[in-house]
Formats: sequence, C-alpha cells, structure tokens
Amino acid sequence: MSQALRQPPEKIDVKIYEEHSSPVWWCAGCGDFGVLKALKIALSELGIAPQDLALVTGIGCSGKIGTYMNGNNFHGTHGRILPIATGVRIANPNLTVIGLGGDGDGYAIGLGHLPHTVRRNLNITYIVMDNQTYGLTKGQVSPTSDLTYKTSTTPEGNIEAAVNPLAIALAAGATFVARAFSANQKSQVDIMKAGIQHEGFALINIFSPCVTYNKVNTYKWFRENAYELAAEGHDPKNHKQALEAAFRSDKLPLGIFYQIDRPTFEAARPGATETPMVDLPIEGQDHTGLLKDFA
Amino acid sequence: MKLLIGGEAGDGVFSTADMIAKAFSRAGLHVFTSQIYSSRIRGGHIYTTVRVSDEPLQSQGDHPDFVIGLDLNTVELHGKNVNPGGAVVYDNSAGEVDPKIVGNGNVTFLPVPAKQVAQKELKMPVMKNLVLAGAAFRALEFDPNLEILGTMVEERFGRKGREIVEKNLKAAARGKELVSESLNGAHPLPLMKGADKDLLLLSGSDALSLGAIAAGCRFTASYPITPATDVLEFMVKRLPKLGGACVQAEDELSAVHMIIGASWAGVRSITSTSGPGLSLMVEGLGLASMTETPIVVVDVQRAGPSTGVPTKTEQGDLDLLVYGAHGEAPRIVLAPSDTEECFRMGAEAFNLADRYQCPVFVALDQFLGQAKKTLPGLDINSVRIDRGQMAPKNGSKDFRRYEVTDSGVSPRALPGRVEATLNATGLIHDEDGFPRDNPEVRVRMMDKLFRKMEPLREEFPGPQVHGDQKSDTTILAWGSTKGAILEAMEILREEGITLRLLHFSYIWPLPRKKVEEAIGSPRRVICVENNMGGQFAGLLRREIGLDAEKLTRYDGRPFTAKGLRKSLKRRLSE
Repeated sequence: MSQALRQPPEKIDVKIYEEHSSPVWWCAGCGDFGVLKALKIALSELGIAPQDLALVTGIGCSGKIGTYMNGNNFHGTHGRILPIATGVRIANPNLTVIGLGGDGDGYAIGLGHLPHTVRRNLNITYIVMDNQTYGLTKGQVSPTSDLTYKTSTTPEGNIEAAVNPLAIALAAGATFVARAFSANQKSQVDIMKAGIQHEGFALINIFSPCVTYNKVNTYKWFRENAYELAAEGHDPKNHKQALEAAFRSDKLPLGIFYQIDRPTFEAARPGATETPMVDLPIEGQDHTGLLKDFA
Repeated sequence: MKLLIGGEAGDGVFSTADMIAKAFSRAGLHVFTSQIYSSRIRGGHIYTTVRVSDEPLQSQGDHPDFVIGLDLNTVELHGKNVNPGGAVVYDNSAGEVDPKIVGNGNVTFLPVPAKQVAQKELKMPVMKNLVLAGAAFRALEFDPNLEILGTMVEERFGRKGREIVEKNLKAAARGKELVSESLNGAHPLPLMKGADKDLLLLSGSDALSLGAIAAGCRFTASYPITPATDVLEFMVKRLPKLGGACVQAEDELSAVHMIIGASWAGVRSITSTSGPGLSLMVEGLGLASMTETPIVVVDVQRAGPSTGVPTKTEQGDLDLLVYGAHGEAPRIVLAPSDTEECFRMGAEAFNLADRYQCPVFVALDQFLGQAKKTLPGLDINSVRIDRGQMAPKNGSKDFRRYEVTDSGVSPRALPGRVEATLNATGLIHDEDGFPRDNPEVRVRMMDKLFRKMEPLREEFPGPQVHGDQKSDTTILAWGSTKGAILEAMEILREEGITLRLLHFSYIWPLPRKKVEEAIGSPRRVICVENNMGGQFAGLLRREIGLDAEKLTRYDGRPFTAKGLRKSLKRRLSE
C-alpha cells in the first residue's frame, strides 16, 4: 500500500472505481460481471485508491476488466500477466498489483510463468476468471475444459485431461490458493480481500460461467457441483488437505484452500530498500567505485 | 605481440589468460583479448588470445608470437601457427610434444613440468597454471621480480589465507626458475615496456553494463544464454548495492515482459540476450512499441539460425533487430563499434528509450562482448540523464497519457505518482489509453507512433569517416568490425592501396540524408559484414537505393586485419 500519496487505509466510496472506465462489452449474464462487482467492493473496503492500484490484465474477454474499472491498467500480451506484474511490483512495491485474466491466458499460453511466480512469492494477487472455454475467439476448448467437451476445435469431444492449476500452484510452493464462484458475491469479496492482504502470491481461481459458449459448466451446474470447504472443517494451513481438495473432481471445493506465510521476493531480495525503487535518485551519483574491478 | 593461452575447458584457461592480460595492463601496456571456446564445460580445446603493445590496439591480431600451452594439445594445434622468432611455454608433465612440431627451429619450445611441480612440491595441482604463468613472464622478461603478479595474487587469494597466497607465489617463482634453466641465459622474446598509467581492462559487455548503471539502470531480468550471460552476472554483483534488483527469469518471454512492467512503473530496465532469446522476445518488443514503454535490450549476437553455433560470433541479427515484429513497430537500433562505444551507447540507450518511449536495441556480438581491451579511463560520472517529457506530478486527473501532440511524443506519467490513473494496452487505443478499433483512431495513433521517431533521422549522426577521402573505393561496415577494418586499411596503405571507411553505429532509424551525403558517389562500394547475406547492405539498399558489393565472413570467426587485407586485395583486383 502506498505511504507516499495516501493516508492509512480506510474505506473509500466504491463509486470511485466507476470513474475513468469504458463501457462494458461482456455478454449479458457473463460471470465476469460478478468478479468486477466483487473486486470493486473488496478494494473499496480495503481503502485502496485507484491511483495505487496496478491491474495487469491479459488477453481475452476477462482481460478487458482493466478498462471496465478505475485504476492503473497494463493490458499486456497473451499469457504474460505474471512477468509484467512481477516487474511492476519490483519497481514500485507501494502499488497494489493485481493480475486479472482468463483460463486460456493463465493456464495455456501463460501456464509456464505460474510455478515460477509462485516460487518467487511476490506480493501479487492473481485472479483467474475460469470459464473453461475460449470466449473471445468464439468457444474453443480450454486447458480447464472437461473431457468430452465439444467445441469447434474438439468436434468429437475433448480428449485432453484438464489441467489442475491449484495443484500446480500448491506443488510449486504457493502461499495462498483459493477458489471462488462469480455468483457468490460475499465469499468472493472475502477471498479477494484475504488474497490482496496476504503478504505473498495469491492465486484465486474464480469460476465465471460463459453464457454464450459453455453450455456445460453453467451457473446451475456450479450450484449443483460446488461446495464450501470451510463447511467441511478444512484447515487452510494443512498442505496435504489442500492438495486433496485441489484434486477433488466429484465435487468442486470453494474457499481458501491454503494460506501460509513465507518471505516475499520484494522483502528477501538483495538490495531491498524501504524507498520504492522508482523513487531512488539516479542523477548526480558517484560511480567511480565501480571502476575498481577493472583497474 | 600476441599471446595465445590454450587448454581444455575447465582447466583455468580463461582465468589464467585474464590474469596475464591484467598484469600487462597494470604494467601500462595496452591489451586486446579474444575468447575462443566451444559449448562444453570440460575437455575439448579452448583458448584466449592476448595481443599486447605499448600503444592502443583496436583488433585481436592474427597468428600468435607466444603460446602458453596448459596441455600438449594446445601445442600441437597452435605450434605450427607461431610466428617465426616466437616461443611456446607448455606443460610437459603428461608427456612430450610430437617432435615434428618442435623441429621447426624458428620457434623456441620451453617445456615446464608444471603439473608435476604443483603436485609434488606444493601439493596443489591446481597451481600448475601459476607455474606456467611465472615461466611465461620469465621468457617474456616481464615483471622480473614478480611484483605485479604478487599484488594480483594477494588481491585474488588474500581472503583464502596466507598459505594459499604463498603457495601461489611459490608456484610462479618455480615456473620462473624452471624456464630459466631451459632458456640458458637467452631472452627469446622480451615484451615491450609499458608506460601508460591507470589503464582499465574490460570487455564490451562490462563497458556496456557500466554505461547502463551510470545512466540509472536499476532493474534487469534476463535468461542465461551464451554469450550474453556476462551482463546479467555483472548486474547481479552491482545493482543490489544501488537498491536495484536482478531477476533470472524463467525464460526470455518472461524477461522482456518483466522489464516492460518495471519500466512502465518508472524504473530504467535492461535485458540482455542473444539470437534465440531475441526471437522469443519479439512479441514483447511490439508491446513495448505500442504501449510506448521504454526498454533497453542488448543482443550479444552469435552465429544462427536456430541454436546455430552458440559460442561463435556473427552479425546475424540485424534484420531481426530492425524489422522483427508483426505489424510495424517502431524501435531504435544502436551497434557499438568498439569498447568505448559500448560504454557510451550502454548509457545513451536509456536516454533515447525515455525520450522516444520505445524499445532501444544495443547490438553487440560474441567477439565484441567478450573481447577485453585496455582503456585510459572511463568518464563514468559524466553520463547525462534525460528522462524525456514527463508529466507534472500535480497534474490533472484528466491527464491523457497518449495525447496526440505535434511531435508525436506524449508526456509520460508513472502509475501511483500522479493524480490520474493510467491505461496502457497493446491494442490500438485512444488518447486515454482505451482500446479503439475505428479507422480514424487507428490512423491517428499509427501516425503518431512513427511521427515521433522522425527527428532521429536528423538527430542521429551519420557514419564515422576514416581513411583516404579521395579513394575511389569506399568500405561500408557496422558494429564490431571497425577495428579489424581500420588495421587492414593501415596495412594496405603501406602497400600503396588507400581506402575510405564509413563506419555505422547508429543503425535505425537510419539518418538517410546524412548517409547519402557521406557516401557520395564513389566508383566502388564494398559492404563488409560478419554474416552471410549482407544484411546491412540490404538495409542500405532499401533505405537509400544503394547497390553495394558484399564482402562477408560467416564461419563464426571475426574478421582479422591480415585476413581482410587479403580479401580486400583480391576483391580489388577483380
């Protein structure tokens, strides 16, 4: 959180997030509306001003979320949310950095960056709007699609087993892993707040139904198949339980799977300073000492 | 004089050669080194050449005068190339050299049982290289009391304790004794005396990195790749002390995007890579261009295509640097011609990146990046920092990051440092940074993106001019080939052939008018390049309609002065 520009956190008016944004192009009923609403509420309750927010967004319908709300937004290339967010965070740790994208961006082309960003444990919140399809390119199969799912690129039905991003993150050493459902406002807000406040990398996978292309994993389907982990007495500090929950496919657990503390990259890195790197002076410095190695 | 230090990979060839080169520079001698190695960690054969003189050197020279063989293989490979009157100091612990090689009476062979001595007398076989170094210094009549070497041993091994330091010194002294016996009072190859004080010895990559730090670079993200890893390792040792950070990214896709993120947030950032990594970064370059985010990318070129020859030099990426991107993405390409320019352009790249808000490439190659050269000094505190047009901090909430100005440059603001919130996107966008796909916006923004680059066609210098202005043959060249060409021209001048050289360091956007004026209309134009197809000749043809002859070398080796003299002479006679 910024110390330079803002006062200590206190709730701010959610309407501020509606300024400086563009008309929403999502289809009526899109799950992402729920994510957007919850995010604005979470941020307003945490008192994070738009100026101190860096939304790093991906390519696809979900990635458009950055311009649908107020905040600094870097809309990058497909699959590269995490590296861009990493650079932003290291340069200015006073910015609250939130990555936002879909399951194609995050788990297909971008999956390679996930374990490494997890390993670094930067204080970044990564929200993946998972609709198990490729919306913007009109309905192709996604890494999280179920087997047998029929699409224009899998007309005989998907034969590739779904990727398990939560398990991948847990295996890589993630310090905060959670899953939510875009229709459940309250739990989304709670999870988002927990993730943003968590000092470390937070992966939040949000089931966000695509009403236009995914006729299988619908709102009804999720209401029938998802359940709250907390109701089962789940211990979020228990890694084994978290993995079991992540591998559960008969029913889909929602909630905070895992949360522990581990030093962040920003704090642990050699050369870390109180002052954000972007504010360190670079002019008028004496660098003659650097020449000693070559004399 | 030129030395060649050779041995198996993993045997300390580079560290021994570096030590010798540094000793020479400490003695006030000028040095130019070159590293030749393969893609392996142990075994095989690698060597460093150390050219040394009492005057500044600009290229690596040709055949050696003095070979130091850490193994017999080195003697067998290079013995026949030693110039008449030269000498070879080598370790004969493992056996003797083929008599056919030694038989040539023009070269003095000085065997020294270095490994045996290090093993038996010092109980540390690893010190064999110091034994050979001591022997070499004696044969060269250099540092007779081993004072310079002694100081360097203290500096390097002092931390490991007195015993280690003493053993190293003893090793060198023993080498000196042993070779004195073989020399029998004769001095086959006395080294010239050096007089220049306070010389610096550094590689092109070192110089570039120093320039970058002096220019305020504080973040790097790179993926290790031969021959560019040097820059990352340089930064890792120095940036943290300045509050900066280094990330060894998981791949080049990540590296380029990390520096885009850091730069957008306001920190001057750099990545260094070679051909294969650059290929991966191309999409990112387009993103930097479109979002108008300054980044500096160093390409230490190596022979391609694909995995190519990782440890060998080539000027093979020019087309990729200038044109690489889908669509049309503006960028700047600089190609330092020597170590000094590596420093200057390593710094200048950041000012250009900030002022023009685009990617800036600095093209080195394996030869220039890893060749070490002596410089009389570096004015490291004289680097001027220009962040370009920055929006005022207390500006309005309605600040438009991509305002279409006459110049095409929109004042830049940093997230979290101004009242306004900032939107950046790889999509075509309006002045607020919101994506738009209508035709008018598309044209206006593309025009702006390229309009802002136009002043560089006036601002960038034309080629450096060398040699005989009245010659009817002009050589055109770019980047690291300058030294060898200049030296070749000197040799040819003594043979009555004079040439003019126009050497290019500012490649793109090409200052067309200055280039046309500089070239004029010579009878013959020969474009000399270290690649196969003559990429720079192609660029000149596209930009100014010039049809130059091509003289290329693409065997993975840099041009040598003597080799160029031969090729040019042959070509001129055709």
